[in-house]
Amino acid sequence: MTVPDAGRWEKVQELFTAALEVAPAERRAFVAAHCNSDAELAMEVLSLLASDAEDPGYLDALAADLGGLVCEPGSEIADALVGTRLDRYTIEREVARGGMGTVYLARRSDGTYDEQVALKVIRRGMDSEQITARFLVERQILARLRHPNIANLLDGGITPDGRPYLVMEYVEGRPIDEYCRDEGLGLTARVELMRTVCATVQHAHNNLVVHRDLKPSNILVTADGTVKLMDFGIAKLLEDDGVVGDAPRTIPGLQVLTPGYAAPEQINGDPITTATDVFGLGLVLYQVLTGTRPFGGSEATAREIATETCERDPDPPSRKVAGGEIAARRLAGDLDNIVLMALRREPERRYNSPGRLADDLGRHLAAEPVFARPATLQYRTGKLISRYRLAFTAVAAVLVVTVGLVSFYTAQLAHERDLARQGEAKAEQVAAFLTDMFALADPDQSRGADITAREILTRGAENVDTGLADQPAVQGEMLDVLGGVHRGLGMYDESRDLLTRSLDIKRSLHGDRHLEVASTASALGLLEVESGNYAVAESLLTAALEVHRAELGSLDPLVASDLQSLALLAAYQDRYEESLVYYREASDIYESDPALQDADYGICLNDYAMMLLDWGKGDQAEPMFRKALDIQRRELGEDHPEVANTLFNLALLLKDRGDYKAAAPIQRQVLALDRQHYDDNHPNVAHSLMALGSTLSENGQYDEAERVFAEALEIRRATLAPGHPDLIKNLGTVGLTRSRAGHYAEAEPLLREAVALSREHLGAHRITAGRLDDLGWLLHDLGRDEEALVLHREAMGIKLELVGPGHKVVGITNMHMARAYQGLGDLEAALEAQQAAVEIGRAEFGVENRFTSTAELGLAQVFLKMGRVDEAFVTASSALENIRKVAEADSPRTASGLQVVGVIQKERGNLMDAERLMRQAVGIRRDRLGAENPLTAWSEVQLGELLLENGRREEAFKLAKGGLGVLERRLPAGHTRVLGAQEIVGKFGR
Amino acid sequence: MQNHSNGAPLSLSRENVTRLCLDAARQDRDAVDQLVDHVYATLRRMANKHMASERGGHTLTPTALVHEAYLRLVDQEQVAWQDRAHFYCIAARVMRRVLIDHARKRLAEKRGGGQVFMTLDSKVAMPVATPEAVIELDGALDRLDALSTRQRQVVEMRFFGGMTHEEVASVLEVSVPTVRRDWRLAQAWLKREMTG
Repeated sequence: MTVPDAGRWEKVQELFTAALEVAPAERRAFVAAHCNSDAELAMEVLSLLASDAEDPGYLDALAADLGGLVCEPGSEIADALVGTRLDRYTIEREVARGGMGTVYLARRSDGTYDEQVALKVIRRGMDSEQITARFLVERQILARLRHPNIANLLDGGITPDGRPYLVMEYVEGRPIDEYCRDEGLGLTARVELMRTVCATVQHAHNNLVVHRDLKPSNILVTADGTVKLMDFGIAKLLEDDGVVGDAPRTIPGLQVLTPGYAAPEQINGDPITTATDVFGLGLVLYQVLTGTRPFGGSEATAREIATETCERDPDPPSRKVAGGEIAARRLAGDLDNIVLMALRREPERRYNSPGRLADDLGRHLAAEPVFARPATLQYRTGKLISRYRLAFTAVAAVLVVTVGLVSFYTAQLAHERDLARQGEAKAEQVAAFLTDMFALADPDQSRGADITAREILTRGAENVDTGLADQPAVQGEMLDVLGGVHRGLGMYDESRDLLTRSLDIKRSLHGDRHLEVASTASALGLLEVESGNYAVAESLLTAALEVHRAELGSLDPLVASDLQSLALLAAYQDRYEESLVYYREASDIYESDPALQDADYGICLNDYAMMLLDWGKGDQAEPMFRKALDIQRRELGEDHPEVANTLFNLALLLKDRGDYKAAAPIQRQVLALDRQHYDDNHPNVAHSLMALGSTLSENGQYDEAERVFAEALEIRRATLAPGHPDLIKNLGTVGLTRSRAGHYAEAEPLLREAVALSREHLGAHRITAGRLDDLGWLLHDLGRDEEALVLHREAMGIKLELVGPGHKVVGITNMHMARAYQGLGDLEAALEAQQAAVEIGRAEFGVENRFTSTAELGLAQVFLKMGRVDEAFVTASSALENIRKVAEADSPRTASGLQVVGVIQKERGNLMDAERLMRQAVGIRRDRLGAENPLTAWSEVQLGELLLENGRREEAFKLAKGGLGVLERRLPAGHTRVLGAQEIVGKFGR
Repeated sequence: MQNHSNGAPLSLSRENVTRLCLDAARQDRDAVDQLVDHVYATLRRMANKHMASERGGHTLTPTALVHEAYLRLVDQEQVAWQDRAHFYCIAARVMRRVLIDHARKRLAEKRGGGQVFMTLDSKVAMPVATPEAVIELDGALDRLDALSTRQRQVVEMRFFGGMTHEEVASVLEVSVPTVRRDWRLAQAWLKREMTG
């Protein structure tokens, strides 16, 4: 070949370079047209073009092999192992030879099993320290990766000449691409198979292992269709940060790579992460779907493939379907997007994990929108609408557009960042815009979001991950917004995850003492309060408060907001006084400036009042609730969720007073508003159900109450941690209602669960004491008073410690103890306990209070049992009188009073008056509680006993017998009332 | 003491090498020569150590060696990225010498060809860097120099120094696309020279 001179060489280069811009088929004509009949020049250029086309990566490949120049050749290729025995294994034949070693088929030959195994030995000459170490790493890796879809490590050892070997499950299967082709699998079956592969790789990642060499020949499918992942030969253990350990940058040339199945970062020697396996999965998926490889034709050299992998976007699978196995139109769209997303050159733009890839494949099969970024905005919007057509409201449509815009702006943002690094100013603008758009998805602002909001948010969160990975300031803000909205939807775990990530990002950007950090800490702190993680909450909130005070002054609304969260935290922990102090401080901040008396003040007032109500100061609380309602209705509108909250609490206050008729409709209204605002599992829905159930229960509507409670319990179990106070309280309430409705057998396990959870998670907490009382109450009914007494004493100890004597809750335990003492026949002790309860009631709440009158009726019954009938009569009559002042004439409470006074009158010999009172009680109970209620039945039996004495034997027998029937049906056999009724009915026989 | 067996000049301190590197970047001939000698000595020593080891040898490529030498010799905080490129440029030239020396020695010992990694399903063969191939490349590079010194330099820096297009462009003070064009043409020409 002639060597042209330098001047001519410039012409050669000019034409050569220009020709490369032209399609290969047209180059010849191009060169001919541009060399002005200079045939020699044309030949030279064409010859060089041919050389280039043959292998455009020639020098790179040669350079990569320079290591070979300094490497000793493997002198002993032929291996003498075949036919020999290693430990328990007889080596039968060589199966495959790999970069590092040789795989043999061997048979376990110790006589116990007869199984074939694969035995992998480092090739002689390759057993350098480093390779040996790598081999041992493989052994370690395989040992930690037990999975049905990963070839199992069975054994390992050292050959007599010192080479380590592994014994693995021998898998007889075909490479996944061959399997799909030979079996003629349809598209769905192929995608399902790949989902299994993805899940298996995810399992490896969960165990901090990346495979790094995923290719069809490493993914076998057995005859029964089981996928087996093979050859963790170049797998690596991941460090915690998700980057492959050992060296931050693998030095090029140090890797053992399979040409055609290496990711760009492997070729370039960049860090290997789990995203490398996602790329590998993309390659395999491509091949499984199309039958061809994405990079390089069948003739391509390794270098060509490598170059293409690093420099060219692959064709969409739908354009490369070979042999017509799968129709191109079935790949176009979603599957194209999915595959191309997995195969992105930049690791951070691929799916985050194999699991995400599997999820998207699943979504495609389920005809749901996939996460792989669609070509256009219309795609996503169109698909969501087609799926949720019926559920769609105007608001939801706005949400869909929001998501589209979020995706769009996130993509834009990433794009701009790459292009011009325009960065912060623009980004903040966009983030602020998104904040507004996203706020629509928070039902507190949108009034009518449905399940689609969750879908939308999940996608939003994913977009933030992928699109804003190196735009931390914006990412932090987006995470905050998303975290807040997730919390608003009751998705606490997701919210915590998002906010925690935001906090980490912001801390690393700004340090600990920064307003940005404090703002996220406030939000996360409140979330942790609501989730019951009190210690975490306290440290977050205290830190946020400190920063806010230092940076903004002590009268800033953000300071008030932190104080409110701390007040809530103190309240949850039974630190009442501290809580009231926090609320007062917060309230003072709002009062300091009329401009601050907005919706936030409404919330503060409501919470403050709630605390007072809880503390037994309902009279102070009611005006606060009303003021809060006024502010909220003015600021937010009539049916705003905050209005619902305040109404909820007001109803609670009314119910506490015994004004069920006023409370129940408000509670039903609140529940309706909640169902409109939130989705079915939202904590607020559960709260509202609980409150309504409680009113119904106390009003004697046990059956409806039980249904309502059970629905609440279901929500709580689904959304709360086992130690959450709300779940524990809910369990207790459902248990109590069930026993009141007579379903004792189902009640006891619930109450025991509540006690166990509360003891374990809350310790000596008021809630634990309450659950102990509940369980004791049930046990008393079952005649197990000794057990009951132990529980009540434990409860009393906790309560005295927490609130001291004289508190309502202490009185409640006193009443329970009095009942247990009566059951045990210790009337003196019963009298003392009951009198203590009455005193607390009169002192704390006055005589017209429900608690007080209940305690008085109990005291009257103790007097009666002691034979002190006159004291009994006076006490019961005054209680009944007080009940009549506040409760309705036909309320169950009135019936209780009538019943007790009636029984006392009977003992005093005033039989006619007794009969009148008891008939009234039976009538009310039949009306309000139903004929099947044990309380109704018991009063019938008592009325029957009275009528027997009055000589009306026939009616008496009918009543007593009927009542006993109900009691026997509804109560367990040993129940005190069943025994009592049986004794009374027995009298008729004599 | 250990340097004397390789005939290397007395060891230079890190600061001195760094200084030289910065001077070399300002086209100081003396600095370049001193640096070449020093780098040569270092690379020889490192390469010999790896190449003499029959087992571990193949795990270190020349590129890795150059990188390692750089890490050893230069205080990186003092040297800007562009200046680092100058060091690599020099190191690449040195590496070429080291490798050719080694290849000649190997050829003289008649000890077979290079090693190609095998994988279970590799249908495509990677080019093999036999001693013959490397010596042939060396000669072809000299001929290429007659056509275009810059293209020879581009190949040298990328092939022996493992430098990126950007680094090469910086040293030669040309654009990255120019380096890419040079590389592509030089490669086509060299390949034809070596295999055609």
